[in-house]
Amino acid sequence: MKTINQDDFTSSLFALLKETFEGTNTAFGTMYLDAGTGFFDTIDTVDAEKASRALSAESTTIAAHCEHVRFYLEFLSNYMNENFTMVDWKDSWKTKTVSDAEWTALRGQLHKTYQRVTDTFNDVETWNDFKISSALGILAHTAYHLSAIRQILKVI
Amino acid sequence: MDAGNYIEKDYFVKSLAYLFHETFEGSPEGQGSAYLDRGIGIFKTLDALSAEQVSRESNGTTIAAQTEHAKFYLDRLCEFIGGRSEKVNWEDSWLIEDVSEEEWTALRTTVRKSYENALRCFAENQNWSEDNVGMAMGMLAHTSYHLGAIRQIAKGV
Repeated sequence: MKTINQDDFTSSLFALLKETFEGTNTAFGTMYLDAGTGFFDTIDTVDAEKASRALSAESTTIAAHCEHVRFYLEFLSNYMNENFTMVDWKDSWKTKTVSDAEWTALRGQLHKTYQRVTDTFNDVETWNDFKISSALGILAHTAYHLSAIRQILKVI
Repeated sequence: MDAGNYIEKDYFVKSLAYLFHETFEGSPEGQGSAYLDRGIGIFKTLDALSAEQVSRESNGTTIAAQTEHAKFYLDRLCEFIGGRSEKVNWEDSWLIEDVSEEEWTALRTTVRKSYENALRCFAENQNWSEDNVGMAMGMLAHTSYHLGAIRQIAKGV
Protein backbone atom coordinates (compact mmCIF):
# COMPACT_ATOMS: atom_id res chain seq x y z
CA MET A 1 0.00 0.00 0.00
CA LYS A 2 1.72 3.18 -1.17
CA THR A 3 -1.15 5.56 -0.58
CA ILE A 4 -3.55 6.50 2.18
CA ASN A 5 -7.13 7.44 1.51
CA GLN A 6 -7.21 11.20 2.01
CA ASP A 7 -10.60 11.04 3.73
CA ASP A 8 -9.16 8.58 6.29
CA PHE A 9 -6.36 11.03 7.01
CA THR A 10 -8.54 14.15 7.22
CA SER A 11 -11.27 12.55 9.33
CA SER A 12 -8.67 11.49 11.90
CA LEU A 13 -6.96 14.87 11.77
CA PHE A 14 -10.23 16.75 12.31
CA ALA A 15 -11.27 14.42 15.12
CA LEU A 16 -7.98 15.00 16.93
CA LEU A 17 -8.03 18.74 16.30
CA LYS A 18 -11.59 18.94 17.62
CA GLU A 19 -10.72 16.87 20.68
CA THR A 20 -7.69 19.07 21.40
CA PHE A 21 -9.62 22.33 21.21
CA GLU A 22 -13.20 21.42 22.01
CA GLY A 23 -12.60 18.30 24.08
CA THR A 24 -15.77 16.74 22.81
CA ASN A 25 -16.34 13.05 22.70
CA THR A 26 -16.57 11.39 19.34
CA ALA A 27 -18.75 8.34 18.83
CA PHE A 28 -15.71 6.29 19.83
CA GLY A 29 -14.81 8.30 22.91
CA THR A 30 -11.75 10.47 23.13
CA MET A 31 -8.49 9.46 21.49
CA TYR A 32 -5.99 10.90 23.95
CA LEU A 33 -7.60 13.35 26.37
CA ASP A 34 -9.94 12.77 29.25
CA ALA A 35 -13.42 14.03 28.41
CA GLY A 36 -13.94 17.73 29.12
CA THR A 37 -10.27 18.67 29.18
CA GLY A 38 -9.89 20.32 25.77
CA PHE A 39 -8.30 23.72 25.28
CA PHE A 40 -11.51 25.74 25.42
CA ASP A 41 -12.98 23.65 28.26
CA THR A 42 -9.83 24.45 30.19
CA ILE A 43 -9.38 28.16 29.60
CA ASP A 44 -13.08 28.98 29.90
CA THR A 45 -12.86 28.03 33.59
CA VAL A 46 -10.11 30.59 34.16
CA ASP A 47 -10.65 34.28 34.85
CA ALA A 48 -8.29 37.10 33.81
CA GLU A 49 -6.74 37.35 37.26
CA LYS A 50 -5.90 33.66 37.35
CA ALA A 51 -4.69 33.69 33.73
CA SER A 52 -2.30 36.50 34.68
CA ARG A 53 -0.95 34.90 37.84
CA ALA A 54 2.68 33.77 37.77
CA LEU A 55 4.20 31.44 40.34
CA SER A 56 7.41 33.43 40.25
CA ALA A 57 8.92 36.29 38.26
CA GLU A 58 10.30 33.81 35.72
CA SER A 59 7.15 31.70 35.46
CA THR A 60 4.92 31.72 32.43
CA THR A 61 1.29 32.69 32.86
CA ILE A 62 -1.70 30.95 31.30
CA ALA A 63 -2.37 34.14 29.32
CA ALA A 64 1.17 33.92 27.91
CA HIS A 65 0.69 30.28 26.88
CA CYS A 66 -2.64 31.15 25.22
CA GLU A 67 -1.22 34.03 23.19
CA HIS A 68 1.76 31.89 22.19
CA VAL A 69 -0.56 29.11 20.99
CA ARG A 70 -2.67 31.63 19.05
CA PHE A 71 0.44 33.16 17.46
CA TYR A 72 1.72 29.72 16.39
CA LEU A 73 -1.68 28.75 14.94
CA GLU A 74 -1.82 31.97 12.94
CA PHE A 75 1.72 31.54 11.64
CA LEU A 76 1.19 27.91 10.60
CA SER A 77 -2.15 28.74 9.04
CA ASN A 78 -0.48 31.49 6.99
CA TYR A 79 2.36 29.12 6.15
CA MET A 80 -0.03 26.46 4.90
CA ASN A 81 -1.67 29.15 2.76
CA GLU A 82 1.78 29.90 1.32
CA ASN A 83 2.17 33.19 3.11
CA PHE A 84 5.79 32.80 4.23
CA THR A 85 6.13 36.13 6.06
CA MET A 86 8.76 35.69 8.74
CA VAL A 87 7.86 36.45 12.33
CA ASP A 88 9.86 37.14 15.45
CA TRP A 89 8.93 34.29 17.76
CA LYS A 90 9.78 36.43 20.77
CA ASP A 91 6.65 38.40 19.90
CA SER A 92 4.59 35.32 20.66
CA TRP A 93 5.53 35.63 24.35
CA LYS A 94 4.87 39.35 24.77
CA THR A 95 1.56 38.93 26.54
CA LYS A 96 1.99 38.19 30.21
CA THR A 97 -1.00 39.62 31.99
CA VAL A 98 -4.50 40.47 30.80
CA SER A 99 -7.42 42.58 31.98
CA ASP A 100 -10.91 41.06 31.91
CA ALA A 101 -11.55 42.68 28.51
CA GLU A 102 -8.20 41.50 27.14
CA TRP A 103 -8.80 37.96 28.37
CA THR A 104 -12.22 37.85 26.72
CA ALA A 105 -10.67 39.21 23.52
CA LEU A 106 -7.79 36.71 23.60
CA ARG A 107 -10.15 33.77 24.02
CA GLY A 108 -12.27 35.13 21.17
CA GLN A 109 -9.18 35.39 18.97
CA LEU A 110 -8.25 31.81 19.83
CA HIS A 111 -11.68 30.62 18.70
CA LYS A 112 -11.34 32.60 15.46
CA THR A 113 -7.83 31.32 14.79
CA TYR A 114 -8.91 27.74 15.49
CA GLN A 115 -11.73 28.24 12.97
CA ARG A 116 -9.21 29.62 10.47
CA VAL A 117 -7.02 26.55 10.93
CA THR A 118 -10.05 24.33 10.37
CA ASP A 119 -10.90 26.27 7.20
CA THR A 120 -7.29 26.01 6.04
CA PHE A 121 -7.32 22.24 6.52
CA ASN A 122 -10.65 22.00 4.71
CA ASP A 123 -9.26 23.96 1.77
CA VAL A 124 -6.29 21.66 1.22
CA GLU A 125 -6.74 19.79 -2.03
CA THR A 126 -3.54 17.80 -1.94
CA TRP A 127 -1.90 16.83 1.33
CA ASN A 128 1.83 16.89 0.55
CA ASP A 129 4.57 16.37 3.16
CA PHE A 130 4.81 20.08 3.94
CA LYS A 131 1.09 20.36 4.68
CA ILE A 132 0.97 17.10 6.64
CA SER A 133 3.95 18.19 8.79
CA SER A 134 2.36 21.58 9.42
CA ALA A 135 -0.92 19.98 10.52
CA LEU A 136 0.89 17.53 12.81
CA GLY A 137 2.91 20.42 14.24
CA ILE A 138 -0.29 22.29 15.08
CA LEU A 139 -1.64 19.23 16.85
CA ALA A 140 1.54 18.50 18.81
CA HIS A 141 2.19 22.14 19.75
CA THR A 142 -1.34 22.74 21.02
CA ALA A 143 -1.35 19.48 22.99
CA TYR A 144 1.98 20.42 24.59
CA HIS A 145 0.76 23.83 25.78
CA LEU A 146 -2.67 22.54 26.80
CA SER A 147 -0.96 20.17 29.19
CA ALA A 148 1.33 22.88 30.54
CA ILE A 149 -1.71 25.11 31.15
CA ARG A 150 -3.54 22.31 32.96
CA GLN A 151 -0.54 21.72 35.21
CA ILE A 152 -0.24 25.44 36.00
CA LEU A 153 -3.93 25.51 36.89
CA LYS A 154 -3.31 22.96 39.62
CA VAL A 155 -0.98 25.26 41.49
CA ILE A 156 -2.20 28.83 41.00
CA MET B 1 -7.01 6.21 -9.15
CA ASP B 2 -7.92 9.83 -8.57
CA ALA B 3 -4.70 11.39 -7.26
CA GLY B 4 -6.67 14.06 -5.40
CA ASN B 5 -8.28 11.52 -3.11
CA TYR B 6 -5.12 9.82 -1.89
CA ILE B 7 -1.98 10.93 -0.13
CA GLU B 8 1.42 9.34 -0.46
CA LYS B 9 2.03 6.98 2.45
CA ASP B 10 5.66 8.11 2.54
CA TYR B 11 4.61 11.73 3.07
CA PHE B 12 2.57 10.74 6.10
CA VAL B 13 5.10 8.34 7.59
CA LYS B 14 8.05 10.69 7.08
CA SER B 15 6.18 13.66 8.54
CA LEU B 16 5.13 11.59 11.52
CA ALA B 17 8.69 10.31 12.02
CA TYR B 18 10.05 13.87 11.82
CA LEU B 19 7.65 15.08 14.52
CA PHE B 20 8.36 12.02 16.65
CA HIS B 21 12.09 12.60 16.32
CA GLU B 22 11.68 16.18 17.51
CA THR B 23 9.41 15.15 20.38
CA PHE B 24 11.83 12.53 21.69
CA GLU B 25 15.28 13.60 20.55
CA GLY B 26 14.75 17.35 20.10
CA SER B 27 14.92 19.25 16.83
CA PRO B 28 17.93 18.40 14.67
CA GLU B 29 20.80 20.90 14.61
CA GLY B 30 20.80 23.04 11.50
CA GLN B 31 17.15 22.40 10.73
CA GLY B 32 14.07 24.30 11.75
CA SER B 33 12.06 22.95 14.62
CA ALA B 34 8.42 22.14 14.06
CA TYR B 35 7.10 22.99 17.49
CA LEU B 36 9.66 22.67 20.30
CA ASP B 37 12.47 24.94 21.40
CA ARG B 38 15.90 23.39 20.98
CA GLY B 39 17.05 20.84 23.52
CA ILE B 40 13.72 20.08 25.14
CA GLY B 41 12.80 16.70 23.72
CA ILE B 42 11.75 13.89 26.04
CA PHE B 43 15.17 12.27 26.37
CA LYS B 44 17.03 15.45 27.35
CA THR B 45 14.21 16.39 29.70
CA LEU B 46 14.17 13.02 31.47
CA ASP B 47 17.94 12.63 31.53
CA ALA B 48 18.25 15.87 33.48
CA LEU B 49 16.09 14.53 36.32
CA SER B 50 17.02 12.20 39.18
CA ALA B 51 14.92 9.32 40.47
CA GLU B 52 14.20 11.37 43.55
CA GLN B 53 12.91 14.31 41.50
CA VAL B 54 10.70 12.21 39.26
CA SER B 55 9.24 10.43 42.28
CA ARG B 56 8.28 13.64 44.04
CA GLU B 57 4.52 14.08 44.12
CA SER B 58 3.23 17.20 42.39
CA ASN B 59 -0.50 17.82 42.66
CA GLY B 60 -1.49 14.19 42.41
CA THR B 61 1.06 12.97 39.92
CA THR B 62 4.78 12.36 39.46
CA ILE B 63 7.07 12.62 36.46
CA ALA B 64 7.76 8.90 36.78
CA ALA B 65 4.01 8.24 36.52
CA GLN B 66 3.65 10.52 33.49
CA THR B 67 6.63 8.83 31.83
CA GLU B 68 5.35 5.30 32.35
CA HIS B 69 1.85 6.32 31.20
CA ALA B 70 3.19 7.90 27.99
CA LYS B 71 5.33 4.82 27.29
CA PHE B 72 2.43 2.43 28.00
CA TYR B 73 0.19 4.34 25.56
CA LEU B 74 2.82 4.17 22.81
CA ASP B 75 3.31 0.43 23.29
CA ARG B 76 -0.39 -0.41 23.29
CA LEU B 77 -1.21 1.75 20.27
CA CYS B 78 1.62 0.15 18.32
CA GLU B 79 0.04 -3.19 19.18
CA PHE B 80 -3.36 -1.97 17.98
CA ILE B 81 -1.85 -0.73 14.72
CA GLY B 82 -0.27 -4.16 14.39
CA GLY B 83 -3.65 -5.83 14.72
CA ARG B 84 -4.27 -6.24 18.45
CA SER B 85 -7.98 -6.57 19.21
CA GLU B 86 -7.81 -7.40 22.91
CA LYS B 87 -8.92 -4.55 25.17
CA VAL B 88 -6.44 -2.69 27.34
CA ASN B 89 -6.88 -1.90 31.00
CA TRP B 90 -5.69 1.71 30.90
CA GLU B 91 -5.46 1.85 34.68
CA ASP B 92 -2.37 -0.32 34.31
CA SER B 93 -0.65 2.63 32.68
CA TRP B 94 -0.70 4.49 35.99
CA LEU B 95 0.72 1.78 38.25
CA ILE B 96 4.13 3.40 38.68
CA GLU B 97 4.32 6.38 41.02
CA ASP B 98 7.88 6.43 42.30
CA VAL B 99 11.13 4.84 41.21
CA SER B 100 14.54 3.96 42.60
CA GLU B 101 17.64 5.12 40.67
CA GLU B 102 17.83 1.67 39.09
CA GLU B 103 14.15 1.70 38.13
CA TRP B 104 14.46 5.20 36.71
CA THR B 105 17.39 4.15 34.50
CA ALA B 106 15.39 1.11 33.38
CA LEU B 107 12.28 3.17 32.68
CA ARG B 108 14.22 5.66 30.54
CA THR B 109 15.72 2.77 28.59
CA THR B 110 12.28 1.32 27.92
CA VAL B 111 11.03 4.74 26.76
CA ARG B 112 13.81 4.77 24.17
CA LYS B 113 12.86 1.25 23.07
CA SER B 114 9.20 2.23 22.81
CA TYR B 115 10.12 5.25 20.68
CA GLU B 116 12.25 3.10 18.36
CA ASN B 117 9.49 0.51 18.23
CA ALA B 118 6.95 3.19 17.30
CA LEU B 119 9.13 4.41 14.42
CA ARG B 120 9.52 0.82 13.23
CA CYS B 121 5.77 0.27 13.58
CA PHE B 122 5.08 3.30 11.36
CA ALA B 123 7.71 2.37 8.78
CA GLU B 124 6.63 -1.25 8.46
CA ASN B 125 2.87 -0.84 8.69
CA GLN B 126 1.10 -1.71 5.46
CA ASN B 127 -2.45 -1.06 6.61
CA TRP B 128 -3.08 2.67 6.93
CA SER B 129 -6.79 2.48 7.64
CA GLU B 130 -8.64 5.41 9.18
CA ASP B 131 -8.23 3.87 12.65
CA ASN B 132 -4.51 3.33 12.21
CA VAL B 133 -3.90 6.82 10.85
CA GLY B 134 -5.84 8.24 13.81
CA MET B 135 -3.94 6.14 16.33
CA ALA B 136 -0.57 7.16 14.89
CA MET B 137 -1.48 10.85 15.12
CA GLY B 138 -2.95 10.24 18.58
CA MET B 139 0.41 8.82 19.67
CA LEU B 140 2.07 12.08 18.66
CA ALA B 141 -0.53 14.28 20.36
CA HIS B 142 -0.53 12.16 23.52
CA THR B 143 3.26 12.16 23.83
CA SER B 144 3.44 15.93 23.22
CA TYR B 145 0.75 16.42 25.85
CA HIS B 146 2.67 14.51 28.51
CA LEU B 147 5.97 16.13 27.56
CA GLY B 148 4.26 19.47 28.23
CA ALA B 149 3.10 18.19 31.63
CA ILE B 150 6.50 16.74 32.53
CA ARG B 151 8.35 19.94 31.69
CA GLN B 152 5.88 22.00 33.71
CA ILE B 153 6.09 19.66 36.71
CA ALA B 154 9.90 19.63 36.44
CA LYS B 155 9.96 23.36 37.19
CA GLY B 156 8.74 22.65 40.69
CA VAL B 157 10.41 19.38 41.74
